Amino acid sequence: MEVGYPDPEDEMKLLAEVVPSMPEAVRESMIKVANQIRKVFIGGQDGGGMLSVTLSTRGLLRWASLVVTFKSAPNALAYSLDRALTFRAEPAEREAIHRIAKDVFGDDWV
Amino acid sequence: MAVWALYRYRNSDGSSKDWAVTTHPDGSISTRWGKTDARLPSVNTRNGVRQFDIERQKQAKGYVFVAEVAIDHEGNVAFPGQNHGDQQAEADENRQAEAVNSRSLVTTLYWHIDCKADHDTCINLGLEVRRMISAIQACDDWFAQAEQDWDGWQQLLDLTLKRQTFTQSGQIQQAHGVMPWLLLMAFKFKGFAGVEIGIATEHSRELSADLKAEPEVLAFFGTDLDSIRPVAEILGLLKPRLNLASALSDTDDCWF
Repeated sequence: MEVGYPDPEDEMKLLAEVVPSMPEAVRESMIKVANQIRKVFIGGQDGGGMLSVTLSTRGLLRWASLVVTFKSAPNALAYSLDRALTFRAEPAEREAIHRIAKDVFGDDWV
Repeated sequence: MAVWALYRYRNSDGSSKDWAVTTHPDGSISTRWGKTDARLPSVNTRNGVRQFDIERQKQAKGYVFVAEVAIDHEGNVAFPGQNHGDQQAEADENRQAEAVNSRSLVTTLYWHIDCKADHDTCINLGLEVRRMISAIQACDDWFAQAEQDWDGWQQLLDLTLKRQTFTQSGQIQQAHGVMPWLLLMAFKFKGFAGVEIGIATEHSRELSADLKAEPEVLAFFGTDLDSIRPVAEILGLLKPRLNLASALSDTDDCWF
């Protein structure tokens, strides 16, 4: 039996409960990043994905909590993503994941 | 080779046409004209006219002086520093590559405002001109950095005071600093109904209203996106950057 990831609407509700003070636009972007990481992790019909790590719902909530905790860090989003996920990824994978996040967050990824 | 005074008229659709004039030793006047290009094929020579007078007539129609250029008998235009004459063959071989490169270089910006808006929009435009000028005047440093005053500030204020249709064009030189360009970009970005704003490079490349797409123009003014971000945010050209510390001010901060 295989269960997919929750819908973005459901994850939005979860994030709203865990980090209610976080702006909605940031929460939406975090879920977009998570879903893109998941897509690359799962891969296509031809075979496995190109990432060895992924961002589960639990990981997403951990990332959001860390962002709130370290909100004053230079690029708190990246700092927290490292601690929630990418420190246990290969350097090339970390770079790829951060690039995904940068594309989603745009100018706010600094 | 004769020196020609080259003038340019910017159409509201972003295209432009050139007109050049020179006075021969016998007192006759030659003019050349055509779409902005490396060649001005059409030519006319006449007597009994002063170059000064017809230059003024053209300026009154909205033509803006570009540069003194050399033009050969076939109408090929050479800007100062460009090859001509004996080196023509070599220049022709490299023309295509140079054209690509030169289009990315910025030496002067040409702006054009064609206001055919209704009365209410003209009033709103006038209010916005004043608001934006006040906003960027608050950034004292920027005005201190400009080597030359840009007379477009006053022109825009005067024209919007009249609250009627108008057409105005001019140049922005490097010495004017980045502010005039940002101001015009902000108007273009905001988009007033019936008001067309064009900003183009010397090579007729129409500039977008997206600051991130114009790094070479920023470089021309000796600046970059990060340096102008505060004023660009005030003018609405960039979305204010996320400030998590401020947005999450009701939670504890564990960063030290």
